Amino acid sequence: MRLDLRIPVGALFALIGVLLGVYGGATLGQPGTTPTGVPINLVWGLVLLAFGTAMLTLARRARRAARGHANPDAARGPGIT
Amino acid sequence: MGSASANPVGVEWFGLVMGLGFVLSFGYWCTDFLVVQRAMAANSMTAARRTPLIAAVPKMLFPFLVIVPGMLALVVSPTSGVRQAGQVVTASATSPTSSTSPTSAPAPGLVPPKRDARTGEPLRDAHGHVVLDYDLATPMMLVHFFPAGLLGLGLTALLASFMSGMAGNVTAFNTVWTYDLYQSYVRPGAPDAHYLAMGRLATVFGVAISVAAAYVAASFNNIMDFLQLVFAFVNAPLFATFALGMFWKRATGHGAFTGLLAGTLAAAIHHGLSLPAGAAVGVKGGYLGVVTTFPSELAQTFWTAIAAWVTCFAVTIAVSLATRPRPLEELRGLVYGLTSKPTDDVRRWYERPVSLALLVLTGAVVLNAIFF
Repeated sequence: MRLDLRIPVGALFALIGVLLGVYGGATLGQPGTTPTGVPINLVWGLVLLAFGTAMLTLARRARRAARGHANPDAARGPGIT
Repeated sequence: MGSASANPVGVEWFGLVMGLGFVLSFGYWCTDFLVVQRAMAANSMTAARRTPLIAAVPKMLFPFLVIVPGMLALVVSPTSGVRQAGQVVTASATSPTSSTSPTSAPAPGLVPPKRDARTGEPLRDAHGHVVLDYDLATPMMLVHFFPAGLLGLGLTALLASFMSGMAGNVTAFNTVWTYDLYQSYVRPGAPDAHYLAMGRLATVFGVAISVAAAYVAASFNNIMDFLQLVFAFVNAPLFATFALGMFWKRATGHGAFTGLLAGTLAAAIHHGLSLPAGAAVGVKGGYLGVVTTFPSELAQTFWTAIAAWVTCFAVTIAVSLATRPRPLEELRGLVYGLTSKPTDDVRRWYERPVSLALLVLTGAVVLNAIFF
């Protein structure tokens, strides 16, 4: 079993994205949260979430493709995946 | 670029191209253990050859990460964009405008002045200008522009990158010492537990040295200047040894060792005889007597690197020619000319190291043409 690095990377970014985005959304409009005028916590939380989701989607797609690829040759046993 | 007086670093084209472009860059990129270590973990020869090429892509864009925030920190007003009273206090309390010294003109920007460790007064250069503490540019920008939330993430990212670099360097230090030196030359054949204990001791010792180095680094204008100086002493002669060892089958072990020693000594002698303008004799050079001065620390470092590389190159060749050559059979797989060329077992064009190398080279030329 080989670990696809996109899974832990995607999960970490998505989790931090959710945490930051929810915090940014909840504190929207409160003093001290937008030093530059941009609700950066919310925006950057969404960016991180998008990146994490993209990584997880790619990993999922690769796993599906590998499974589809492996099935016809399943008679040859493990080791080829 | 034609003369040293035409640019703020005070270095002419030869010193820049040969010192930084050739010796220090190649030295870092081809011999630095931390860089080469990445390629050693690759699962095939092709992947190993691709490693530095792929790593070169973000490295080419590195100036945007380092220089652009630094330039922004210099010009942005400490109170611009800050809307909340609490943060105005935070930002301006540490900014240069709040400097109480009557003689220091209020500098714009977020970079605070470097202060004398004993008196607390802002340091000044030879022309009387306040010396800014550029190492604090990024942290000041973080504190200034990030609200709670993203600030935590930003500081975590900074700390994580420090720790990753530190961990990699400490691992490299104890591996090289324990395996390559101690096990090979000092005490071969000891049980594993002994080497494990030695590795742990080396880790403690390495961390202690880096703490001591941090105190030396604090006396430099910014950490990059100090880093380049260390590379001029360590990597510059090593690059000559690597190049000769890989491409010249007549090179011998005695030649390499003597050359390396002579190169490092040459760096120390050059550094000890020269001094950057306005600097005091000490860690910045001049400890053997000031024979020549350079307009800046970087100019001195580039020429130190050139001196180290040329000395190591010449001494290695001279000593190698005077000592007995190794039989060619023993050099197979080690010297380029005696090793079969690796073949790439990849299908797609973008997986080939050659096409990646061409892409990286084109990128480097284009970026240099734009920002020359």
